[in-house]
This record gives sequence, structure tokens and C-alpha cells, in this order.
Amino acid sequence: MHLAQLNAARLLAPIDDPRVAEFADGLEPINALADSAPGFVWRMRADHDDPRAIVKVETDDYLAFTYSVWRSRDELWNFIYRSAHLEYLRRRREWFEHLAEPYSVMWWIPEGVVPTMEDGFARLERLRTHGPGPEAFTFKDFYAAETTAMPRHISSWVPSPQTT
Amino acid sequence: MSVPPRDYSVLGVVLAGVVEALGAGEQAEKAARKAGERLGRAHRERGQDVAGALRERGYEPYARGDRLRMRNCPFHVLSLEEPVLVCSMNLALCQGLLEGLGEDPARAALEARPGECCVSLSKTNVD
Repeated sequence: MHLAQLNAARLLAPIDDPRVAEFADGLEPINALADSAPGFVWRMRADHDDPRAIVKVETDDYLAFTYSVWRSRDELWNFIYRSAHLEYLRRRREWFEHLAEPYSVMWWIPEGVVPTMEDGFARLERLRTHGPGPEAFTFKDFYAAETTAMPRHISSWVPSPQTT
Repeated sequence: MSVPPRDYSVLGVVLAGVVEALGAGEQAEKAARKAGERLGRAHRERGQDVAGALRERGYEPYARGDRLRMRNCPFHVLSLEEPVLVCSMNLALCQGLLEGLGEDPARAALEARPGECCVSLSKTNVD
């Protein structure tokens, strides 16, 4: 299994505004760092032609996302907190609002599957509504991937719910 | 004679979580800077240099190229719980420490790498 992470943040100004220019300057080098980081599998790209573009939704210029897939928890951790990326997290107050509700969610996905934005939003909503669980969790409340999946022939023995 | 166990990390983790929840990171960094300055002045009064002070504080500094890196994070347990807050406070603390020692605080910068302290220092001829 691979580990997917969706991260949402609210910018203090749209990405082309001078107030967040230093953050925008960092997008290209930090994205390049992610792409070459050990354990990196996939990330959603904003715009191949514009290195200062962010992943966002059409309806909100202030919401910025990162969406990526990694081989393991530790490799994702090392990119986020043990690389040049940490300096951008340290300075996040200069560019982002403080969010009281969870803004980052992780979940396990089968290898080779590319996660959708819809699934990511649903996972984040699940975390916000129900708290961390095996299907939507955080570094603080982390859930390991199920290593012993139930064999198919056994799962068919599980009785269906009674319909009487 | 035995001393009852002390446990500062559990309370530290709780307090770090509160700082994050309040969005009070900036104040926490200012407090860490001040604490570092006090510590730095104390080290200076005892005639210690930067490397000596860092060694005594448990950072295990070592030279690599033009930087003074640090093998050990004195706040490791906390940094696993609230990495951004703790690493930012650690940088502020190290900058304060330099200031208190009469050195340029800008010598300290974040240079995080797996398994080591998140801070490194630019070298001067005396280190």
C-alpha cells in the first residue's frame, strides 16, 4: 500500500499577490525537492507551464492544496519536516492563515492508484467530522496499513446482513 | 538512594499542543529567543565558546564543510509530536544563544536532515 496525503491551506492573498511572492518563489525548488525525495510516488501538478502555480479549486483563490502519494510514513515525514521544506513551514504565518480545524489528512491507497480530488476532500471531511481513523488520519494519530488483508475466498464467508 | 522519575516530555507535548491550537507560535519563538539569550550569557560568563555551549546543551556539534552541524536534537521527543513548533523554537533558542554569547544570531539557520538537529551554524575562524 502507498500513503496519500492531502494538505489544505488558506493563503493571506492570491498566489500572484506580492504579499505571498516569497512563498510562490519557493514552489519550483520545493516541488523539485519533493519529486526527487526518497519514497516520492506522485503529486498533483497545478500547471506544467507555470512553476509558480498552485493546486487550487476554481471557486477560491485563497485555498492552496498539496496532494501527493508516498511509499511510507517515514519518507513523507522526512520530506515534510527533515528537508528544506521545513523552512517554509516555519515561515507559514507570513503567507497563511492559522486554521483551527484539521487541514491535513492521510490514508492508504493501493499501489498504482491515482487519488482523485473528490476522494481527498471526502477524507478531509471525514477527519473533521469523525476524527482520525484507519480511513482518514494524521501523523499524530497514525494508522498503519493493513498488512494481512483477508483472503478473498474467506471474505465470501462473511454472512450478509439479515434482511428479515 | 533513588530519585523519583521526572517526566517533562509529557507535559511539554501537552503544552506544545496548546501553543499550536492557539496559533501562538510567534510568542513561543520570542520566548525561546529570550531563553536562549539568557543561557548564552551564562555560558559566556563561564568563558565558553559557541561549540562548547552547544556541546554542554547536548547538541553534539561537528564541523562539516563551512557549517557547524549538530548530531543530536535535545528536544527529540517533542519534535516528533509538534515538529514545526519545536524546530522553530529550537532555531530561535539557538539564535538567542548566539546573541547571548556575543555572536551574530544570523549564523544559525534551519538545515533539517533526517536523524539530526534541524539547526546548523555558519562557521567562523574561532569555532
